[in-house]
Amino acid sequence: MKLTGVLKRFHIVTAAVSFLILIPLALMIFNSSRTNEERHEKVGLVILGDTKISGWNSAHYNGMKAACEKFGVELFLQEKVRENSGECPVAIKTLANQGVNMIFLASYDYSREIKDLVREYPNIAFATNSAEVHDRNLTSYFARLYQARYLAGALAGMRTKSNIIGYVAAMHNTEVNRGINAFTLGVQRTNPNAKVLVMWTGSWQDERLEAKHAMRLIKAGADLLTYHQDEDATAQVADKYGVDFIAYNEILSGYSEHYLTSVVCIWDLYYSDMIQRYLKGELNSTKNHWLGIERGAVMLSDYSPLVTQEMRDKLEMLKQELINDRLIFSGKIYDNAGNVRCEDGEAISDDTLLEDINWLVKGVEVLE
Amino acid sequence: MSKDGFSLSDKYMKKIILQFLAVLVVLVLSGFFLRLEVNDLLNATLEKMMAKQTADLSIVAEERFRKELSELKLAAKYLETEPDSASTEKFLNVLKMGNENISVGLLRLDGSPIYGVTLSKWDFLRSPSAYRGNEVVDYCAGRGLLFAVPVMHGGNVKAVLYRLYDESLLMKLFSLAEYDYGSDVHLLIQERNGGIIIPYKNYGEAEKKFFKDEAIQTGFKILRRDLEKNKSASVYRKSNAGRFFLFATDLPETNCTMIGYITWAAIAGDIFRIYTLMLSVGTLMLIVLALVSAYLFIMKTKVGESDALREAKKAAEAANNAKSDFLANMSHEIRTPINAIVGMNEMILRESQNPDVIGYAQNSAAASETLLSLINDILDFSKIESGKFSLVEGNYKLKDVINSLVNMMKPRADKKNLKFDLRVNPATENLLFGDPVRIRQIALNLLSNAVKYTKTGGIEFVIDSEKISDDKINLKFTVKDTGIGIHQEDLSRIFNDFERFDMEKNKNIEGTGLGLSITNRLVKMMDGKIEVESVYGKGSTFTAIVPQKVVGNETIGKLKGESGSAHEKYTPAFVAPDVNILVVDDNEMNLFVAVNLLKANRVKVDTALSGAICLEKIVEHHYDLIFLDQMMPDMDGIETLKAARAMDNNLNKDAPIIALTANAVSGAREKLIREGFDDYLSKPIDARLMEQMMMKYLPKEKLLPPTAEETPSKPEENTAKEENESINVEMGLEYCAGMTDFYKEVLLKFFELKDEKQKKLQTAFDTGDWKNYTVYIHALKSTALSIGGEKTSATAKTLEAAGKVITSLTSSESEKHENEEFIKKNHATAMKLYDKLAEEAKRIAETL
Repeated sequence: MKLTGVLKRFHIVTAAVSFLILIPLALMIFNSSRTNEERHEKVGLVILGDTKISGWNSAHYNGMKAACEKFGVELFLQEKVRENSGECPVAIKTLANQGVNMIFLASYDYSREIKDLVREYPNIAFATNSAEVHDRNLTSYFARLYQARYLAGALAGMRTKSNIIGYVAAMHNTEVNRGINAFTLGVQRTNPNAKVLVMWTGSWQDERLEAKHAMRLIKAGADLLTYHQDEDATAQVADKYGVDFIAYNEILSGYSEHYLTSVVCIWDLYYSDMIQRYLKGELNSTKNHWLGIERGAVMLSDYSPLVTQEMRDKLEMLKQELINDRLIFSGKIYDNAGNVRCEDGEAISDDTLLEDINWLVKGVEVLE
Repeated sequence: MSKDGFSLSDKYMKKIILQFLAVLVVLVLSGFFLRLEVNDLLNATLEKMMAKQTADLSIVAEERFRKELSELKLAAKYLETEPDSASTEKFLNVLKMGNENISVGLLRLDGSPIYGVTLSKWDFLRSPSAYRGNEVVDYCAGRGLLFAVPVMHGGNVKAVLYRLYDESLLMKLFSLAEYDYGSDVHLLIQERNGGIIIPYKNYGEAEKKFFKDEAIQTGFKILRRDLEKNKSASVYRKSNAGRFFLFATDLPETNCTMIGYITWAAIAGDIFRIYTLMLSVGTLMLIVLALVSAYLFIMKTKVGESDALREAKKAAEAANNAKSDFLANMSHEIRTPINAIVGMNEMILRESQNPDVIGYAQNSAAASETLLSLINDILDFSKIESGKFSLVEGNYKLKDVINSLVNMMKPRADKKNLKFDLRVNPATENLLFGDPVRIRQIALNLLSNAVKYTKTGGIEFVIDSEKISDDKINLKFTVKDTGIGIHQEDLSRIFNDFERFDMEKNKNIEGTGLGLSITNRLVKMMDGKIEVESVYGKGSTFTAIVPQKVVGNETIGKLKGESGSAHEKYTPAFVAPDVNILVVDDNEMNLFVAVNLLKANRVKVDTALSGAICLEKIVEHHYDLIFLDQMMPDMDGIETLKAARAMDNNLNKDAPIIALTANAVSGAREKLIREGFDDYLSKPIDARLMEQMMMKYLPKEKLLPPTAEETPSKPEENTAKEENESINVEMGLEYCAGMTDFYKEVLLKFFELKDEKQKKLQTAFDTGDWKNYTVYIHALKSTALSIGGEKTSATAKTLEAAGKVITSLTSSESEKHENEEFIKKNHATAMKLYDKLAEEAKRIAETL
């Protein structure tokens, strides 16, 4: 009877002690699981087209994806969101419901559409690549692609024989004008006699019209084409007609050596910078954020064999100038109507470049 | 068992201690683990807290920068208006605020100064951003902090205005003193991702040493890594210099990183008191656990022990209950036969004329009494033991108690040739309130012991009292004997239960050994005390002092030490021929005793063998008094009483009903009165008490003084002359249950049958037919006795005895012859007596 009593008691003590040990252990595990809990960030991307089709959309998506992977951020995609259709606000609401903390609007006109909506989400950091609208939690985000355009223009100036360079452009807006102007200034840097022929398509994506315009520009004597469109219809026409061309936005493949180079933005870097700024709480601390060639955000892709070493050296020199803060839009600049847009000893400010370029520089001709 | 149990217990105690130690070790280890966990947890929490504070620091810095920039922007706006160079210079001088360490300048786009000095592009990498129209905050280690804003011309930038603060002014500029934790905190500013750390405060050897510490360097590396993803970061590091929290934040839109460190104690010092708290609580819990374990263990053991104890107690209680039951049963079972014995003895004493027989009966009565007192002792003891004992208090006369004591003890003392000396203080109060039965018992016990243990000498019984208050006295009985005495060392034990001393010496002394114990308890119950003094071999003195209430103004006066002889021939106190009494008892013997006891009083007695019969009889007849036995099968006394009281056709509603009970328990008596009995009479029935009871309850007019007839004649008168056979009428009547008519009939029958029976006897005598002769002479013996012919009966008895010898097969020839001669010699005498008895019977019958 004493033995069983002792054993019984031992069971009780064991149980009590186990209990006493297990409870704090459980609490400890619970505690440490809480402390190990990482900040979980979610980023949303709203984009115009299909991210599976090569071009602007896929370039952005892939860049964003790479950046998110780099920082361990979860990406939520809203694709095929048409501009000015009411689809963008819906996409933003969907993303907000999914709990994203940051949304990037990757098409120019979205920002206008949602300028009132962003205030409803004060805890979501918005970024857009349009400079039209700003808000406390909406920042414009850019790459100084015009710097690459300037280099491309310099290359075009060196390559052209006819001194006529064709430019298929989408819309007569600040972004496109800035590109045309930088390109033209680049052309004039290497070939002051050359001129740039511009044709407007009025659309970011209109392959038929793009091709048509490209052919017209060739007929007009252009022996080198470039374009500012979402896809590469112009390149196809130029390649077909054996005309040199400088592509835009992506590194193409399957073209002849007439494909001199591409004006590209390194979207990985672009988005990495943006996400890092978001994570550091700096994303919305300025109204515009512009990444330039000095950060390697923009560049010309590998040159065609048609680009001579001499040309390459020249281009490298110009690139170094830019990296060392040479301002493209500085000194005396006339527009193609003869107005002085920039005096000697002046430079056009970033704000103007982003928001207010409604003129084309001297040396640009628009082909109706 | 005990030895094995001990070694087992020791073994397990060791095991338990080992287990306890193991548990302790586990607890201590987990305590350490807990401490580490808490440390980590707290540091992590503090790191977060610090990081948040650092972020606040950055916001504050940012605000300062904005303020600075807006000031410069305002200046730039003024410069846009293109004032003349003198005004410009004056204006820019104002911006310098007269401080040597602040430089202000206005630069052209190519970097050449319009005013002030040119800035090295290599020092201020961010400055070109100003040429693009942006506001710039730029830090250059060694140079200071630069603020630059563009001077616009429309949408274009035409110049850059800057203000440069020397390193030495940074502290003031940031004005972060309010964020200072005192001397514990150290703030520094660093280029983003820069390697060189330039503190702007208190930078001395200690700091240099601090930053060289590997742990600190690693800490800053961790900070830098964290800053890639966070606005601010903090990390806890333990270095040779001590424990620190390092923290850093990037200032937005600048190339600055603000870093700092603070001693661990400044942040955590107070919070980490939680350690002490936890330690004390933990220790406390541990102690509590240990105590609880010990308590549980002890309880467990105790429970085990108390289980065993409880079982033992249960068994003991069961045994005790069995004992009590046994005693209670014994009380009843023994009292019933004693009742019969005492009754029968009383009958013998009343009726026997033979002094020898009376002597035997007296011995028998004395033995019965002793037996009864033993039983009473045991009963009392069992009652006291079980707590059922209670005092029955009432008014009484001390004189009566003393008289009864003396009456009881004097004869006993006389018998042992002891002098019995009664000394009563005549001033003692007589009318008292208390339990007379128990008072008597106390004194009786002391006296009995004195008589028992005294061989020669005498006993002195002293009654005295002393006044306590107006209505209270201490009644004092002193019993002094010249007996064997008590050893000094035994004095303390004499009141113990069952205690008897000198067993060898006193083995012939009867008793339970309970007497003094009971006496002691009785005295205690009455709030009194008992004292004893003794000299071994010389004698003892017992003094019982009992407080009693005084209820009347009367003293006891003189008391005689002498009271009557050992045995007084019974004389009835009254006769009541018109009285009808019903006695109800399930025991025929009891009924017989009761009936016979009542015979002397010449009351008419009816009997009933059960409650049911009783209920029938009370409807048919009227009785003046009913004695109702309390303990009967089927329907007990109380039930019968209640039924009788409830009956409408009961002719005896007014008749007093007295309980007969063998149950001497005081409570039981009280209960009987409460249940509705008028009084009670305990069995064995005391003839005198019964008589007193009748005198109390019977109607006075029916009680008559006893006539001469009822007074028994003196033995010498009673002894018949040789030849003259006289009939003992009383005896004869007794055999006829006191019925005179019946007796007359019996007498006449005896006379009528005489000739025929005598003829048969004579024939048997003449023919020597001893067998028939014995039968006939036996019949004569019985019939003669039944009419009261004692002499004839006695003679017949001798002849019968002789006849039996002759007819016995075992008798020798000489014996037969001898007895034959005896019969032949006495036959004539017997026949003569027979003749006379018959004539006497006829004569008495005629007179009746």
